[in-house]
Amino acid sequence: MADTATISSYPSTLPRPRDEQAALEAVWASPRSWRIVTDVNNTVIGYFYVGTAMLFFLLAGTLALLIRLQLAVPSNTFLSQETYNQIFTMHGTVMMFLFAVPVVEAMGILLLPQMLGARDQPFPRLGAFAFWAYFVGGLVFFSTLFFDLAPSGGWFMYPPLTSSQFSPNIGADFWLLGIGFIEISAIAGAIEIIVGVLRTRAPGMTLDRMPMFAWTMLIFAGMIVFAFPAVILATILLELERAFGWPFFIAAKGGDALLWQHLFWFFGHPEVYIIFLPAAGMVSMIVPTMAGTPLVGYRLVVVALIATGFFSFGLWVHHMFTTGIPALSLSFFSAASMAVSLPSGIQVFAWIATIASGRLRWTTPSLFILGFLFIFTLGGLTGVMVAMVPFDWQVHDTYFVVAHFHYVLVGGMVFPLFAAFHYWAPAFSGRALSERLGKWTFWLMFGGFNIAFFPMHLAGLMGMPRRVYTYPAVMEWGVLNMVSTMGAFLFASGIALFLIDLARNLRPGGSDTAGNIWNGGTLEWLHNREYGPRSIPIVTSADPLWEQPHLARDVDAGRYYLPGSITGRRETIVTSPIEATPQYLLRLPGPGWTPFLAANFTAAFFMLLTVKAVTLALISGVLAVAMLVVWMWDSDPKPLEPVDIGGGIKLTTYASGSLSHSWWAMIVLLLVAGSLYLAYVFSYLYLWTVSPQFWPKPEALAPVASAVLSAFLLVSGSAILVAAGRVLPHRSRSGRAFELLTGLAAAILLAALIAEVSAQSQAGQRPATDIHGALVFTAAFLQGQIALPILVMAGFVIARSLGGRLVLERRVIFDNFSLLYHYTIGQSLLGLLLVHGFPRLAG
Amino acid sequence: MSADFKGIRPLADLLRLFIAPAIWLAHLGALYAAEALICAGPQRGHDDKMSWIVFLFTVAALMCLIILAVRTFRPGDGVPRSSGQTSAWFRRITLLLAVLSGSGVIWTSLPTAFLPVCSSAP
Ligand code: HEM
Ligand SMILES: [Cu+2]
Repeated sequence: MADTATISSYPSTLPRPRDEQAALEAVWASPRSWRIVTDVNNTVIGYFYVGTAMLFFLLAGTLALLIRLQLAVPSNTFLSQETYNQIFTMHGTVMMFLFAVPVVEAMGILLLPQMLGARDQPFPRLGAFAFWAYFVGGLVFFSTLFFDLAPSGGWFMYPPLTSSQFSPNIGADFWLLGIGFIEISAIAGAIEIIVGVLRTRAPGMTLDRMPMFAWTMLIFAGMIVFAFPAVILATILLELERAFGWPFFIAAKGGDALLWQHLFWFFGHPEVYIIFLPAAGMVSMIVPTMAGTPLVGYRLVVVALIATGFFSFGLWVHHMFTTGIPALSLSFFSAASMAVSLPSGIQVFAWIATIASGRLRWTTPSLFILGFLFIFTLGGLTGVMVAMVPFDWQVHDTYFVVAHFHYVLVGGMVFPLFAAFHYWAPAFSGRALSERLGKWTFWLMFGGFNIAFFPMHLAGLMGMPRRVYTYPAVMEWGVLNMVSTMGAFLFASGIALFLIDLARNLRPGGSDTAGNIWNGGTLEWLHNREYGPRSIPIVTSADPLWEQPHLARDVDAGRYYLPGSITGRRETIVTSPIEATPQYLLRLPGPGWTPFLAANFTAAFFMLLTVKAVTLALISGVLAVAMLVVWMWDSDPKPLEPVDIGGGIKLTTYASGSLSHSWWAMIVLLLVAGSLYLAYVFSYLYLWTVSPQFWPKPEALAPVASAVLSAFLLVSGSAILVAAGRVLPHRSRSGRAFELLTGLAAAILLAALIAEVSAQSQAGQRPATDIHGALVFTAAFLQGQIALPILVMAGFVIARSLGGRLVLERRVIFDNFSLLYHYTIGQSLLGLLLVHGFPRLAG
Repeated sequence: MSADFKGIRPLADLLRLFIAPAIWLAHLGALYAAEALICAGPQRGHDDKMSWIVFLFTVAALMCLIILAVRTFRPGDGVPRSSGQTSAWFRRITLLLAVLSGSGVIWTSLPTAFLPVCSSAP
């Protein structure tokens, strides 16, 4: 471990071996030509990812232009009503799900390793999988527009409008499965980001020295972990209703359409901050560089970030102010809505103070940031207006709201994003973007945006409703809309100019970048190549390039840690989460087909299911699982002797337990699963408050004995798996007992599930009859959804043991399996308690 | 080195940062749930019961936050193994978050002082 003596004696000035760098380059070389799709390196995947997200921005932007064309004059007939509905639904959905969240995640995948001084993300193949899943799923989803299959229920898809009664065609199913799938990919990316930020920082980069962008990405990813499961559950429920008639949203059978709104906005409100926080993080990186001084109030900004992350979850009901929830509840949330403006305000003041304490250079990124501050502040003000309950009744569902959220979204994320593109281009491209074109881009976008959206406030106050495909020629509506449309095209011309700039100046991929032209202080401004910096520095401040004058030169000369490839593979240093002390050397996987194929088969599975090609879907599903198994087979490489990463630091090459980076990933995954289940528990209780009369009398419930039996099975399953862990054999001993016990544990989990389902059926519960039955079987469904992977994983664990790849000294696969297993037992017990206990308590 | 990091210590240390805002969120959720179950549940309308619940939850949340805040003044708590600088930083952040969340708790429970419970929106 790096004690002070070794730190001060660093960097080493000894000459490096001659072919060390060439070897490092060879290990990290990308496959040529079309085989590039097999690469998993964050620089390659990051490019693809950002590029794809921008493609969706352009596509959804084109749809926005179509909307504006239609609305330019009153009583226009350019688009039919149904087409218009599809177009604005797709515009909203694509912008929110295929652009805003993915582009931020993409920037994280691309930037974070360079910024943190890592060679790559901790799970390169997971990142590649997330990207390809998003790419294929997104394109298929978008193309439904061309087949007149696109959903038309608005981007938040409220039932009953989206139930099979009112939306019988498969457009809604495409939305549900497509978006559900893309959310899963977003979660995969979030896991990658959390573990990356916490475990792969350069030595010495303690939490209080971490770049602000990394902080925001950490909070961002954490919010995804808690927010996305709610909407995934909502899509599962709606899809179960549409496909099998489980009546979650049908009032006649005890369901409630409001449940969708609750679940959706539990995700939807944090979503706004999920989008906004990373953009704010970008601003917090750019402002100090452009002002030439460290960020003022670093500590307060961190506090503000954490607070925003939590406070934004408290706001879900404010989107439903006109839906008749008791007044007191409403005022809790109204108060919470305003509380969240405090932390946002802290950040704005930190930026302004930074600008004031330094000297701002008038570069393109600075302009975009000032534009952002202006627009976002206005959006915040109208937001406070909307948050006031009586005002909301006035403007609900008018163009005022459309104007408000575009000020927040475009101001809050598109402008910072364009600042980021201009700012970071030289770190990745052989040439910086043009300052002259950039300034033109800015003024076109800024002017165009305000001309397009400011009049919408007025139109809204005059009562023009949103989501109408045309309007009569009353009042000044015609003029206002015409101005809006012209503004929108001005904005679009700004984007077009940006694309020209990219085409002329962007030179990605080479190892000679334009470099630190802005004089930035953080590690991404080192000379980074495909594999990040030549050697991994030790960090002693928040702006290492400013504080450690020779850092860039010494790093590039290979004088710091890990100047070559020690084990002949791609590798990076894993450090501790708070202090960033080096803990072990992580060997990373190189290019391979499995992530690409697995993503494609998974996408095929979902899409084929949507068009009800069940057999083909199942085949794809099996192939996807097969790919995952192949992929996982050579994960967890076997321990080697400790290695010397330079500076006298010896690190092990293997870690298990909470030391292992994959343990952290598993914990995050369990948080995802736990949030999903909590959303289910919420739905159960919520529906009970709506229609308690559908809950059977205690006598009519499944007998207590059956619940006790299931619980007994579950607990013994856990015990057996613990026993399996105890008999995990040493190298070259027989693992027979271990394999038997593991198999037994998996079988018991399945048995408990079957016992529960049959007890409920015998008690006369049916999922499609009424809401209680539906909820009871949903609990079983959720348990089955996790039991299935457990069965596959158990088989995998056994196979690895048989293949000699799972022994006491190499046990991470088993550790992760048991974490998931014990979690599942816990979840199932909670489910039993709820389903059997609650009706007896309430009845 | 490894002995230090066995168990879930690093995770627990990290999660300390998030306790205070989590209390705020739990408080809000509890108020909302209480209101939903008492006002909208089968036995509707127990106004005084609700006021008591709001009061109790608020006091409980504030107590937790105060304990958390006071602990940050005791050196040795927080992140013991950290170098002095980082651990001081950690404690300051925790303290600030506790204060912020405390104001949040008070702010969100204020409406009960002014609004009748269990009335539906006008
Ligand atoms: C680029 C310029 C943009 C223009 C001209 C534009 C225009 C519009 C218009 C006119 C509507 C209202 C449609 C209606 O209610 O009938 C709309 C809706 C919407 N926009 Fe945009 N938009 C733009 C960018 C964005 C961006 C960047 C985002 C998100 C990041 C976004 C998200 C949405 C959402 C969520 C809706 C609501 C859709 C619905 O009602 O279901 N827009 N947009
Ligand atoms: Cu909101």
